[in-house]
Amino acid sequence: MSAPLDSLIQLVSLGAAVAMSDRNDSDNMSTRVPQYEMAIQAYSILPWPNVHMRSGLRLGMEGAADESHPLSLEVKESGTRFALESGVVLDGPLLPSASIQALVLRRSLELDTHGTSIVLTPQSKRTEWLFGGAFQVGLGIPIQGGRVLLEPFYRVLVIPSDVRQSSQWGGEVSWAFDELKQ
Amino acid sequence: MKTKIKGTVFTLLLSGAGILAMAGCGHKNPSFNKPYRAEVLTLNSVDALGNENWSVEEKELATLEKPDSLEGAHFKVILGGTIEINSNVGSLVEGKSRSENSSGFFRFSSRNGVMVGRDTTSLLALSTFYAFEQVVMKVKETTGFEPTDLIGNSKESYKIFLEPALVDAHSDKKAVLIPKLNAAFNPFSDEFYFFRRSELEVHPFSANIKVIAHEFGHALFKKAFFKGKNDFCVSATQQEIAQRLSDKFFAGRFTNEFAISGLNEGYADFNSYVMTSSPRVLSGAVAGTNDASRALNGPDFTFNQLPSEAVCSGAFYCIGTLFARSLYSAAQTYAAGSKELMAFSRRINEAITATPDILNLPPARDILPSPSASSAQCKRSQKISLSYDGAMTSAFLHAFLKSFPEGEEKSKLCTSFAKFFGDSGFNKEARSVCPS
Repeated sequence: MSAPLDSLIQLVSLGAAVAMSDRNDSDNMSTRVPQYEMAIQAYSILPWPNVHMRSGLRLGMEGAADESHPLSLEVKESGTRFALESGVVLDGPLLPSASIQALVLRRSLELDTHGTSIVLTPQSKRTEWLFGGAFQVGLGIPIQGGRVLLEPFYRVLVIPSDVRQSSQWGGEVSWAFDELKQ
Repeated sequence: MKTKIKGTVFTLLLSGAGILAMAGCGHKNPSFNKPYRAEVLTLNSVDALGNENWSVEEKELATLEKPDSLEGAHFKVILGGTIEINSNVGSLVEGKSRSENSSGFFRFSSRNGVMVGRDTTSLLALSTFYAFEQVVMKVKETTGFEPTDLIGNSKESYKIFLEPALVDAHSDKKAVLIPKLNAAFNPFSDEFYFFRRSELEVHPFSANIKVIAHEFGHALFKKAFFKGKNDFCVSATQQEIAQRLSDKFFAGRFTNEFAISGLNEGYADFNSYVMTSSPRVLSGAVAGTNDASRALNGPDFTFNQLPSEAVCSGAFYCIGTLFARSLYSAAQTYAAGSKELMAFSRRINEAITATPDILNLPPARDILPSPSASSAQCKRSQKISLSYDGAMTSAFLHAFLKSFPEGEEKSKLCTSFAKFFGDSGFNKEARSVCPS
């Protein structure tokens, strides 16, 4: 690592997270959508005591929703999402954090007739790109001397072309490559 | 260096706030142009053996006016909403929509200008619109009514609620229910309800033109038999109840009567057959169920057998099936979907339209039973009474036949009614209208 970056970046961590969101299917019904993420984050010093900047990249995958659908037809949704995030972490016995994320989602939509005899239009698969943002708050619980961080979190999602999901909650575990430097 | 980092943090936070603000600008579908076209799930045809041909394909939505909210010339599709229910009889509901301020909305994308649902709900909503449109476009040919004449109460259009929630109007707790596996028509507010889709549905009710034509049949029965206005049967004092016992035509009586509810269901099933050519309104609707007792071409049973649930277990629906089978049997001269069948259906509709007036004249008036105690109290029967409900169907069938043009069709109808309703449901006095 070059000297200027070394003076800025105190620690790099790798994380894995599981999140859930309630997708508002109609006015009255919501279905739960799981999401699995990998993250790489860098902690930097800030000019305030015990306050660190945390920036990172996230790559996530949306799982299948637990929605009910007729036997003969379903629009199957699956997707990957990429996020750039930046925020602050307070150092202490627990590590509260707040961050914002810029999101890009690539969603695959497939018309699935579950093997029934429905004749489909030739273009039964398609892809859409969605853009949005998120605000996340979390509470880190350091274990193993701070090398591992368990962090439950809550996110407010804003995705204009898919406002069915407006929030997300989950937990992340991350492993630090080095301890926080003071 | 610290100042630079501080600046970077603020820049990032401001950028993030900007991203969130831009992202929060709201949901918007693409713009579409007339003639609107959409990708829908549709039942294309039913062959003579009852095999159905379904597809997802591009269709024109000819009456659509506002694509973003699925509002058309004759109806509007509403996602969600809450319905306050007073009571329900089969697929007829008495109540009112309490809320249609839906936070749900339809999500469409454009493919070469064609509306495509971006999720299951939106695909089904487009399919609902298309199926309703197909039904409404057949109304003139199958009934003689103009679609624009159907709605009473100065309403502009029918409301079609997809996946609404229900609350019991009589419950203090106001528990919210999300029913599944059903569809209903509310004749008091001209609203159709298609409840939450279910994994037990083979083809979704909300896109199934057979189910939609059945529910629309209730709207047609309202127009024909109830003259466009169903009266509530309102609770009354003991004195008023006593007066009702001798008033065969007190307001709201026929809305509540077991046999009339059944005949309404039967008319709706026959309407579904005329409009779709399928004699089996429920075939392929719910997985693992046997629709034989409801099918118009199912194994025979008669009115006298109805107390036995072994032949038909659907309460007043069974009376309806007998009525629908009688009409279907008399219509066998005409090929499914033919112009002759449509003309026959119009004559059926004209006769039903004239039926209530003839019911008020002797001998139908004399055949019609005086209201039972439960009827006078607006309480619905849960099971058939061969004598009471038989007199009710006899009076109805007599008045119906009296309005029907003389000729071969009327003879066939008489034969069919005699076969399915027997001496109890189509009694000797009622048959006086038939050719000897």
